[in-house]
Amino acid sequence: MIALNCLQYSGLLKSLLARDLKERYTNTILGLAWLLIQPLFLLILYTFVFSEVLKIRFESTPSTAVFAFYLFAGLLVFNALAEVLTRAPTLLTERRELLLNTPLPAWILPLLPVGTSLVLEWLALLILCLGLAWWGDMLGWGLVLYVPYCLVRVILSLAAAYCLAILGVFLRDLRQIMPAVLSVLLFISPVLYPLERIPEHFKPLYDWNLLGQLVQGYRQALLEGIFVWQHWLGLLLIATLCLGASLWLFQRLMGKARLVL
Amino acid sequence: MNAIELQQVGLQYQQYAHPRDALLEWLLRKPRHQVFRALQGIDLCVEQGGSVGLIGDNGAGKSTLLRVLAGNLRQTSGECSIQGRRAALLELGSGVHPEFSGLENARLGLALRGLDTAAVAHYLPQVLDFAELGDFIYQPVKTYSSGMLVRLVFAVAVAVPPDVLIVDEALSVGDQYFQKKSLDRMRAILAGGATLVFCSHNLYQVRELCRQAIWLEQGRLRMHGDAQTVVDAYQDAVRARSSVSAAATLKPAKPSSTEAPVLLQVALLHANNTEQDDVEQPVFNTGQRFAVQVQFTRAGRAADDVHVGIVIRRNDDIQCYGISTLHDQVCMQHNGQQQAEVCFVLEQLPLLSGTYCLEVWLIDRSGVHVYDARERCCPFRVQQYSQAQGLGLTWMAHHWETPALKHEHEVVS
Repeated sequence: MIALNCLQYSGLLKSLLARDLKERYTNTILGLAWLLIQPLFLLILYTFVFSEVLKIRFESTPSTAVFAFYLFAGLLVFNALAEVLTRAPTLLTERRELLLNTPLPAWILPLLPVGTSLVLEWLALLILCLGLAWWGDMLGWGLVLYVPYCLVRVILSLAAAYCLAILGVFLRDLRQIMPAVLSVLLFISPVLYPLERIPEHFKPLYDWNLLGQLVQGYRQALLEGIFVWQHWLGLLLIATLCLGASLWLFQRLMGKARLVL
Repeated sequence: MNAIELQQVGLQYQQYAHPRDALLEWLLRKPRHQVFRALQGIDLCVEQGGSVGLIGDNGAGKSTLLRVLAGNLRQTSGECSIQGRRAALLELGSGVHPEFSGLENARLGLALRGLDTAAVAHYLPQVLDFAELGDFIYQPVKTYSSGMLVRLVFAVAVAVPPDVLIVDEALSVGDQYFQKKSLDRMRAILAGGATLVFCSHNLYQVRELCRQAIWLEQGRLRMHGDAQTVVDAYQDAVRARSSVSAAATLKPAKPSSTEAPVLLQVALLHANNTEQDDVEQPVFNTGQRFAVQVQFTRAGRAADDVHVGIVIRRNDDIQCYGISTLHDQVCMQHNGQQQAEVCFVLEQLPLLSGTYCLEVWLIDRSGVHVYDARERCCPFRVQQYSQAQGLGLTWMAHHWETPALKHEHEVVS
């Protein structure tokens, strides 16, 4: 149903997405380059702190470059999700005018940050690949193995976007809470450090950290060329269930949301 | 076939003190809202190719009804069916992005109306052509004046001729040139068989553009009918309201003494009395005979010392015409009786549609002293057959001269 609608509205979706990307960088000096500068800046910062100062290592290799690649693969996922999580709560309230006065279908809006996050992710991926190729560690089939995990990431992002977008209408505080949630998420997930560093008695908890599992999958696919399909299938199942639930919530509450927009 | 069919359409806004209450209500299943009835029991049928004007005070529910028609709000009760593709021009500036150029906004607006990339490319030149914004089309919309904005928005709305066009107040900010252009465009769309819903405080435009009109009052349908009739009734009501405050300040003139002449009866004489006997307000037609009979006592005064003055007032307190037997130098009849009678006659009533009333004065020969007066008596209504008799207060004797014709003759000779 939604896929059919997507087809019908593909033109609209495209121009909304283009506008969305441009909107954030019109009137800035560096323009779209910001999309690259932000993740690179964070990469350098985190590499310095965690690799040089705290001496954390992945795969027991002493190389700083390998640490940077592992870190970057993790940040790839995290930044993309962060984009969705920060923007979703204000998605509907910021477009009140459009929703109330034009035939704009509401379900199209949560697709925007997910689309943007995909663009962000692929730009970062490009950098990662360039880096890997330069270092001589590039795994060709890694990119193929990456695709299914990217799909899971997108489904999970959609679930978060629909859920947060609709709840954000009713709970305006969500917008303020999100940055804090993201900081917590960054530090409790094995993005900046390897999973092996986690004490044994916390491990069962980490099994349920979706972001952590996703990062794990990305790293295995892109850097090690490993694809554990049971792992992937499990993630896909959970993500799809989440999406179903949040679509239901979105549909259920949209009528009410229009009243309080 | 009916393009628009509304059956008992009602819309309740649920008002929440805070947005989170809406969520809590859903979770806890306990009502936490107050109900505001924006629309109640609206019935409306517009045939395909019809045009309906929407009038009423601010807050009467006009915009809400337009949003329901445009499909942006769902009615909470009743049935609403619209046939065909609709285009709506609602609040000004909605759906445009201030940072983006007019061109980008036009493109987006077309995409919002469900056009794909190829169709957008096809219609875009027409939009730009119609908006006539020149090089401003490349400037961000935030630099536009409201008139320029409405040009853009209107051009986008009518780019693809819709089956049902819904237009809100917004147009009135355009300049005269564009207003005419947009009205012409709406007329052309109408002529093409589309249906128009037009909401405006410019009642003249409503009357010109629409065949039917509906008058909304506090969310209800106060009146529905032919545009001329509804607009007249609405104007009457507005005038009546504004005169209430004026009436309060008017002091009734007192008879100067008990022994003075007094008015006995003031009556409207109507051509076809039989019809009018049962109604409170007699109805006259413009151009019909109109007569007022005034009976009064002379109370022993000389016949030429008691004169009758009559003022016709419209219900917004405008004095339409006032004259007296004194100023017209009427020789009051001297038949020796204490009761006298005089008739004020207009062979052809020049007044146009509206509600009027009379003021009748009994004055002395100097015209300064008032024996007796009746204010706001004999209310009556005037209706005109058509716009052909003009608009405003009264019909005025006139003729048209066409120099073009003379010119043509010159050209021929």
